[in-house]
Amino acid sequence: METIPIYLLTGFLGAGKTTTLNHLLTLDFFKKRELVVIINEFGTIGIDGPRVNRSETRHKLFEINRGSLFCTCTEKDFLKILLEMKEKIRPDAIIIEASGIAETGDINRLIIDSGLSDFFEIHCNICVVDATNFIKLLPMVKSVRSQVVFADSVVINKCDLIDEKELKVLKKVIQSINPKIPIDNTVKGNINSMLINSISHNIKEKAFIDKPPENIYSITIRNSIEIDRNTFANAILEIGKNLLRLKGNIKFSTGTKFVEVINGELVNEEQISEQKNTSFVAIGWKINKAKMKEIFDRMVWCNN
Amino acid sequence: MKISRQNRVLRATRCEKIDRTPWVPFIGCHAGALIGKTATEYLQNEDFMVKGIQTAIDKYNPDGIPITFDLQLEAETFGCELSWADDNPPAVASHPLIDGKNLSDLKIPLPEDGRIGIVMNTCRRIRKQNPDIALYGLITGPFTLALHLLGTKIFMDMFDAPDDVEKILDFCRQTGEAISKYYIDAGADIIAVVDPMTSQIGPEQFHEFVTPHAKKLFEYIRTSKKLSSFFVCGHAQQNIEEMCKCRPDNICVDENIPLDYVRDISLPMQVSFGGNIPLTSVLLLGSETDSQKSALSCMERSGKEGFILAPGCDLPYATPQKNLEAIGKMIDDVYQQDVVKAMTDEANVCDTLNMTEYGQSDRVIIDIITLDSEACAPCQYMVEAVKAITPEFQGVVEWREHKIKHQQSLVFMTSLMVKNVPTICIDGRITFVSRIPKRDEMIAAIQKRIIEKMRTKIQRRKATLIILRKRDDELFQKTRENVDLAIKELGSEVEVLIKDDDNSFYAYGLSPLQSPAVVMAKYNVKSARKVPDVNIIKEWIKGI
Repeated sequence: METIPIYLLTGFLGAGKTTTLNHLLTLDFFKKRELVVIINEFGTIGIDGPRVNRSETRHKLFEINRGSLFCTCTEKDFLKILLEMKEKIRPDAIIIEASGIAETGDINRLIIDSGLSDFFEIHCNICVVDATNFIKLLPMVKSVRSQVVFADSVVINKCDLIDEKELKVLKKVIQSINPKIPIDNTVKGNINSMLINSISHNIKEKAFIDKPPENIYSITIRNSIEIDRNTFANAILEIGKNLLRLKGNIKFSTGTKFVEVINGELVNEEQISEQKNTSFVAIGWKINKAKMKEIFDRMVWCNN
Repeated sequence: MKISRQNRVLRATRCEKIDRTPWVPFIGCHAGALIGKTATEYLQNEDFMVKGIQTAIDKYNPDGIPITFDLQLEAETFGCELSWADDNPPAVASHPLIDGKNLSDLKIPLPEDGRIGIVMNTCRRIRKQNPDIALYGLITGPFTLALHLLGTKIFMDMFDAPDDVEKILDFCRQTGEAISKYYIDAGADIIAVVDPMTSQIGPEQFHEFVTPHAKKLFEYIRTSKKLSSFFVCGHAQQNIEEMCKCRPDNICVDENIPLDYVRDISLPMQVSFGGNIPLTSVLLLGSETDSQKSALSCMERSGKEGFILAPGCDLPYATPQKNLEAIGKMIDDVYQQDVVKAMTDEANVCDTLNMTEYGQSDRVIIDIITLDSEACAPCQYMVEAVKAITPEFQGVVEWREHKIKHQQSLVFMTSLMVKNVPTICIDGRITFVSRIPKRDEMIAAIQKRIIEKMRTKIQRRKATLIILRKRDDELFQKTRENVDLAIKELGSEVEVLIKDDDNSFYAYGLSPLQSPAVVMAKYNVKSARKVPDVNIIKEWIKGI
């Protein structure tokens, strides 16, 4: 008996998975097939389901509205759907749009543990990455990293919203997590139709994603001490491109300002009317965390 | 040292010595299934909840039990819409802080807001009905509650607006303290802070955003002179140490985190731990034996001190009762635990013996399947009981012990389809299961078997002798006389048939010219008092 191929679509919330899914449904490759689409939503119940374009294919749509798909709580709902497909529907293919916070590495284990590996197999795991938010989420949310680790291919979506330089850095960051992964750029989920068949699934043993990647991390600085503007500029300069992001308020001697740094460049600096204490989050890359902390500490304390 | 069930949980939570591992099934909407109500009906009705929890207590022999497992309780009071289901707890379907409300619009819930009153009244009634059981009051952890309020935007805001996230978390912490107080007033012993969404973040974010609030919350519970637990589910291995640093009395994890990993971190920090019988693969889809084995494996990995046996998380609505009953039965019974231990993974026992012809010899064979009669008292008494009566049958009865510690005995046990030990099988038939029969009862069972064997023997002796003859054959008379004499001398039950038509000769492959001919037909009783399967009959026919 032939196994039913599963096309797994992952990516954090807002990355553009549903838009990508809708695009996939317009492809001849899927249009011709008896298709089942499974959507797991977390925190956006009933939003993604209706957004899925139903006119393009004769697919059957299942929604799991509880927790993160492949988290223990929803395993039974997912298994229920798979069993129904095995016994009644027998589709040609399945597309799963996983929840934005899904630990996608679990799906192989679930299929094998429940004795369904003779009936289903992962054909490919495509991770949609949000060009605008990926870097700031990476050190914060574990699943953002694990989705890339377990993917067979990454599609960077919303590429029109960042410049070439940012895209280059973003690709390097992705490759630092999954060195050999093929990366495609796109806008509005317009995934390359060739991609679907050109990649195959690479089963990875359950990797232990215990912490953010060692070379990417965030630190938070909170302080009530006034900071000299030049000292701040020097700190940014010293960290340079290793400062992937910085965002927050800084209490300068001239008043509090909202500042934003992307890839070492100050892109926003606005005076705010309220006098606030310093509070910002910085994401560093390929720089020793203690060193970055020391630079910011020096910035805070050097004039005091 | 026999202690009360409540005390057992409290002492284990405080890492103190106890007589045995406490068992706390995390019953949420599953209790609805126990009384034939949907999750929606169950979670909104105080009487149903009281009845459901009481049924669970009566059936599952727990040392402690949660009043409910509903992480939407607080969120509902803040205006989060709930999406209800028949076989799941409800899910939060809207998030007030992204739907236009401000944090200042939200008020700490009062004891009667939403379904809080129902839950607290349930707690009071269960407390009254069960003074000897540890009651858990489950509250939604600050991070998960913040996620209900703000949706997954919280992850972006941890970078974009960390101060706002802080404020929301602080509000959620205050909410947690209020609900804890309501539970404590209603008689709960342990407040469990359930924060599954923290599994999504790393230890640094945990330290930054969760630790300050969780620490205060646990301090509040401690000041209220009650114990606390910190529940997490999913891949939260990275945060175990940070969780312990928040100073709960206990932490609970699901199957995604190995218990020995948790133990090695938590116990040195004087934090007890609990978990993690797999919910889906074992409790929902597995058998009673799977459930017992898994529970035992959790206990063995964890050690006796500072451990509470529990499912990894909220039990699925449709969890088979028999699986939880099996654990409840085993938890008090050291002997049963030894049996489960000995019955190593059945998957390894793939060889089974063909037992179809077993027990057909002249002697009656008694097989006693034991753990080991030298080490296990019930096994010893059973073996002694059999041993004492066999001499009275003067060699007709033979007994053998099969210790399932040995692989070949386990194969034998599986082949006979024996599920419990000790068990007595007489000629391969399961006769006495887990009980030592009285002397007379045992003798009667053996005698019954001897009589059965005699009857079979008699049946086997029965035969038909056919004499084929031509009507005028002179040799027929002499043949007939010899046959009658032989039957008489042997005392056999042989029926004699005389056939004289030509077709009868042909039917046996003979010619009438070969008269007289003698044909013997021996009978073999193949089944009695049952309808044999067609395939079985075919096999008998092929045997001819």
